[in-house]
Amino acid sequence: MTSRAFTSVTRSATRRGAMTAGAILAAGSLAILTGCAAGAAPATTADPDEEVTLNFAWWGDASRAERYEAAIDLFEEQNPNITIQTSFAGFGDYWTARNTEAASRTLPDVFQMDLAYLAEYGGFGHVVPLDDYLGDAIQTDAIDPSLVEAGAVDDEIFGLASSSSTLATLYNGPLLEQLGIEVPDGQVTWDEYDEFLAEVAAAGGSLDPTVYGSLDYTQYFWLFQIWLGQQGLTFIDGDELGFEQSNLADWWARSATIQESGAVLPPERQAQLEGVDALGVAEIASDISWANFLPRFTEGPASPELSLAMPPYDDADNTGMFLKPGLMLSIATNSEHPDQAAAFIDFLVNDPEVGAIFGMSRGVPSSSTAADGIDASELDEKILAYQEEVSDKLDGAAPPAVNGLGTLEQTFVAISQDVAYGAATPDEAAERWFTEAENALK
Amino acid sequence: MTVDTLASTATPEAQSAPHVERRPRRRWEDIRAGYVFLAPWLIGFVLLTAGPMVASLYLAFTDYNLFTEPEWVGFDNFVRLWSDPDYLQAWKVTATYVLVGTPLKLAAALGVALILNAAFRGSGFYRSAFYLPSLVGASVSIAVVWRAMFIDDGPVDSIQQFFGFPAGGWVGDPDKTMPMLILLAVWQFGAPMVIFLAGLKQVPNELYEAASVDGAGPIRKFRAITIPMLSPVIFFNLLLETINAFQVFASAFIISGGTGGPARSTLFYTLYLYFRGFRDFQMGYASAMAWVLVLVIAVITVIFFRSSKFWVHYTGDEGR
Repeated sequence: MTSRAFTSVTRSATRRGAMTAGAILAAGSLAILTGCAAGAAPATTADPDEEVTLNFAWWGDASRAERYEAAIDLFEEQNPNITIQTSFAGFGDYWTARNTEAASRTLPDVFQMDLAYLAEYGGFGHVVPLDDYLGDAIQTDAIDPSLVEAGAVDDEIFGLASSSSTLATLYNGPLLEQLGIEVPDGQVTWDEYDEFLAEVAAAGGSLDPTVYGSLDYTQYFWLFQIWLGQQGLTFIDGDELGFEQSNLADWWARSATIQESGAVLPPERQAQLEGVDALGVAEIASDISWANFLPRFTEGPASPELSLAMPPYDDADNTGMFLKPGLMLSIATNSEHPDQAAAFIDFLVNDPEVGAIFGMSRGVPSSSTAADGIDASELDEKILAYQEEVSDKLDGAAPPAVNGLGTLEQTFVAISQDVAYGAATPDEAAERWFTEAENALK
Repeated sequence: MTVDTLASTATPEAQSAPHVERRPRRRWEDIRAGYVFLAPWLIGFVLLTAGPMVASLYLAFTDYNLFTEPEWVGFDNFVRLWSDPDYLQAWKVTATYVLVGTPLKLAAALGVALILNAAFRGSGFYRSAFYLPSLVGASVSIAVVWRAMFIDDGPVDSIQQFFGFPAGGWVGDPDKTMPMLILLAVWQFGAPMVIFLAGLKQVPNELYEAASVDGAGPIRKFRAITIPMLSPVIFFNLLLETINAFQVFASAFIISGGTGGPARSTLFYTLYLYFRGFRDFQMGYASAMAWVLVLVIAVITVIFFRSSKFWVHYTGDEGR
């Protein structure tokens, strides 16, 4: 009906010309689009003069980023043909980003790996087995074999641990002195620790901002592992969970006690402290965290002076402590420069100057050559002294890398927040987590 | 007027009647030209939207962990949805946001549009100023700033303390995070407001004058003239805003710090979908969630359209 009004137009040459122009434009834009999608041509063998760009990603905070950037500058000096592009994020965001990249096969050439996702990434072929590089491009003579093995899934090594770490209780001595409370000495049982926290919070109410004993420690997945070990249980037993719902409910029941006594930082306050550590701004007088976070907390806005002690345990023969292999490094299967990536990993793990840059902030370096390079600062000395103190008390074990470990950790943290807010009872929370675990562990 | 032009253009056709077989070819040329121009968008649509939608429909019936091949499980994902407490919480949170936030937003839009309709000095400036938030509102940076406003000792906390309300940021309080997000939605009332303004300008003044002559007050005029005349615009805005409200993601993600809020109070449907798909390697389950959302929005849209017969008055219908 309407084309009748345009019959005169269709006859004109301009119309046909416009159509041709339109066709060319359409074809042209398609070609450009395809060109953009094609991407860089794949590289062949490792050529020392070849200009190579590697992508490197890690999780951590600003202080870790500074140190990594310094190490990378060093590497780029020594290898002028290699440029490293970096990115980092917090632990949670880091893994959703990596998961998406894994699905689209665009993972960074080198990236930090964790026990939590080792099974998935290694088992499903997203990271390259390092066995071919170990002993060759990546030196392992200076690394404890058990730490090397820690990155294995089904006898193939998918991640190389650059450090190992243990949990510790950190106390802010000067702040406690100000509150008139003594730093606990020697063994602290769980109940004693709860009492200590309540004391601190009672005294801390007089300060502004209010100082509390600690954060709600029942949200710490890795402290829960230690507590399980102390109960004689394991996290994973074969293919299933090594403990019962009631055990988890007992653990989260501790949250109710310390929340009610006002001993710990309220979850509302904790939610607002995003990006800052409560210990670093001196709103809590103690916390249980990785021993190697000592520099990070000390560099916080309130510059607290912290000391290290063992986490609570009821029985001296059953501390549940273990060395967690940390900051593993992996090479993506989709990497076009695996040889250069391996050289970079070797540098990060073994080089003594990198050891000097990080000190003990990423934990005890797994490589003794890196450890030798450390020019131990006062904080490094404290960490080293603590590691030595606990080295003969490690009677626990880190959970094995299984599919779904990462999800279990994230769900644990999310549900424990509900418990902290009183939105779920410990029993309900334990039930929810177990339902999740069933789905995640298949 | 229309009849005349039809007659005049009809004549060339009548003259070229013997060339009947040429007309279909010319029409095909038109159609072909149309498709050629459409091609870039059409290809993009098929590859980037329609194709993935079909793939997601397939994935909804599988167990897919992003790494291995999807495994067919039939309706398992859909069954699992209804016994998942987090899923039900996600619906609760999203429904609250839609049912409370959308009417508030439209009420604000209509209210401000009525005020700005009376052209006073500077009304043009205010129009632009109110429209600006809706342009940038869904962005990450606004969400970050919004969150920063509601923390302890932030601007909002200071104001509420000034008025004697108990101190405390809204960000950490599970009861206050939803009001915070609804406020963010209402703050972006500019886009529907501009559309309401356009609609208001089309209401014939004679109707208001006739009503004044009959002795109607402003409220009566509003109820009897403005609302019915605006009803197509109200319908359009209501439908669009409701559909958008179901899909909010960025502000929920940023304001909750990527966690779904203190005690799951900001666990929006799309956010929960994101967690399931990208954090927990349960992409099949997430796809099932996505399709349930599509169905729910489709049903609500159908309800809107069917009900519009009863309350939307289009001018020019049946000489009403």
